[in-house]
Amino acid sequence: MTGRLILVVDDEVLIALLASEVLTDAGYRVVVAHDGRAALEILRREPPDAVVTDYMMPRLDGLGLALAMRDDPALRHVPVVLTSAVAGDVLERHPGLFFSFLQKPYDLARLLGAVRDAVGAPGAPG
Amino acid sequence: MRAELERIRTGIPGLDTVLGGGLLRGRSYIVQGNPGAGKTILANQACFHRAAQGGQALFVTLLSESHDLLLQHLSTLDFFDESRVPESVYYISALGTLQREGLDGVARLLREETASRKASLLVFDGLLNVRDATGSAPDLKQFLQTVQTQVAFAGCTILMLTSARLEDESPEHTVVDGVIELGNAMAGVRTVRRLQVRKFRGGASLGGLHQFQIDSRGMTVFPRLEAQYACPSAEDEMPFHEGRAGTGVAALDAMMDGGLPRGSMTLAFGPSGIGKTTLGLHFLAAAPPDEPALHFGFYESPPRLLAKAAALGLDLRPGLESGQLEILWQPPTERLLDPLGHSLLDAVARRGVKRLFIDGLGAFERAAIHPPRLVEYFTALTNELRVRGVTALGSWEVPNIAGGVVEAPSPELSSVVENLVYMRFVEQKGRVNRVMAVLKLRDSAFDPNLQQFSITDRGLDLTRAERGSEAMLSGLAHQVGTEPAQRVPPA
Repeated sequence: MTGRLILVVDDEVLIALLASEVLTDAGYRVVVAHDGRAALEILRREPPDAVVTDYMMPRLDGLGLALAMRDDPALRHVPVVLTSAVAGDVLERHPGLFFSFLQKPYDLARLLGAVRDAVGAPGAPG
Repeated sequence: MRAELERIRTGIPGLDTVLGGGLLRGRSYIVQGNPGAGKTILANQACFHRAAQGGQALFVTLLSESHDLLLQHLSTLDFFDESRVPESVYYISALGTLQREGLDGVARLLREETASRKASLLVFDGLLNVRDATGSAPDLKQFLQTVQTQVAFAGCTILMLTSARLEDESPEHTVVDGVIELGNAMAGVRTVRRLQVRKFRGGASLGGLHQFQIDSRGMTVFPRLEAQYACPSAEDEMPFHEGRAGTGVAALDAMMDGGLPRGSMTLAFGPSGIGKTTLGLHFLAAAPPDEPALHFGFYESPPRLLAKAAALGLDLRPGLESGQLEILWQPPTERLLDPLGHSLLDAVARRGVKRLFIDGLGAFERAAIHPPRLVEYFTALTNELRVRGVTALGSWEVPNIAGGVVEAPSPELSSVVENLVYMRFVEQKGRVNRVMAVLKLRDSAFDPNLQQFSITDRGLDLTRAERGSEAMLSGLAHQVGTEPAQRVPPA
């Protein structure tokens, strides 16, 4: 497999599963984590081309994950798409930290659009 | 000395009263009820109250329903405050943890998240899935005990939600400190939501079934009036009850040694159209400035009442404008007994009401789904009004327009009403006249004579009834010494 790798992070198993299937069907490679800490472990083994993460999660939330990625030179340039039903003022407080924001519940076309904006088409060169 | 345990108030109107002040800090509770019963709203409302109090709440689900939809639903409710999410109210799913790490992982997750978020309220939604995930009752019990030890004893209160119909001897119930059950009951064609505290360790709670409502304000619980006010909220102070409250009808006051005994409940009963509301309007209009007055009525809307009063020569508008008088109209929708009583007592408390006219008390009877409780209900209501120093007058409609026997008011009411004024139509010399009589007056003598009265543009006008007439209360008056008219036997 040579397609672009997307890490989907969501504590809600069904949402993570659905997002992963849609992205896989579109041609992306997908890995899934259910909290920020598990996501960081995966990221450090194999940096993906983009991360789509939920905000509220156990152990490490989406904000904590993005901050940890920014502090890691190997991960600093990976775009992070934040998804949440309620994001509060996190975007204003951390300008530039997230590549984009996807309001939940999102439809799958918008998810694909957000990922395409972040990394381009599934197999296209960066 | 009796120690008071620290409480975590839910902020849900009425629920903290039912719970004797709130949930106990560091204790665990089950909230059970069918889907749609209101568990999620109860729990979220408590979370947002916690946040408003400066605390942290954590909402953990084991369900497959998504938080996005939950938040969408919540956003239609007044208590939902988006600015509290995620800083003070935090939603996570433990389903992935359950699948990967089992129940031990879930227990660990709850402990870690509660600690890291410094939560003082943890909601755990989906207890049924824990039951499914455990092989045996001992496993289930052990999980609950672990969570309780690690989370609750650290000072965080836990609400566990389940749609299972758990019995008292279930492992879940034996472990937790309290059980709140939400349910629906059919009453005729209506559905009534009811809440019951089935178990509550460490404090007294109000027993029985309490009605509750869910609307855009979220959940409102109406503690059973006779349970909440089993003992009136204050001492029965006699100074309240000295003297009389003038009715505004001088001739009637004269019959009652100056008016209605203060702090008592009077019932004016009679057929439709006899003048009960008119008497009530006199009573309210006669309130001195230091006696805030309340009209708690079911029939006429405020504009119609004002027009009716004006036709009697009574101008209620200045009182309404100054706040001396409030007209609290109960529109004719589906009513429930406890919301009615609480609405009345709240209105009395709000303005320190000292004069109250309830037009008519029959609406309370019709709102009762379980009529036998009316005796205790009216007892609690009138006792509470008494200790609040309220002089109350209520109307009660009897079915017979004229003729027939004297109808006693509802037996539920007779036992608690201290004063009775009977009004009726009588046939005399080819005319229909109105008469009234005082039948009972608390601890005092009264003029037992019948008064004939009419309703004029100056209001109630009393004249002594014609002497020598008999059987007027039966409606079939006749001159003494003549034969009474033949009564038509009832069909």
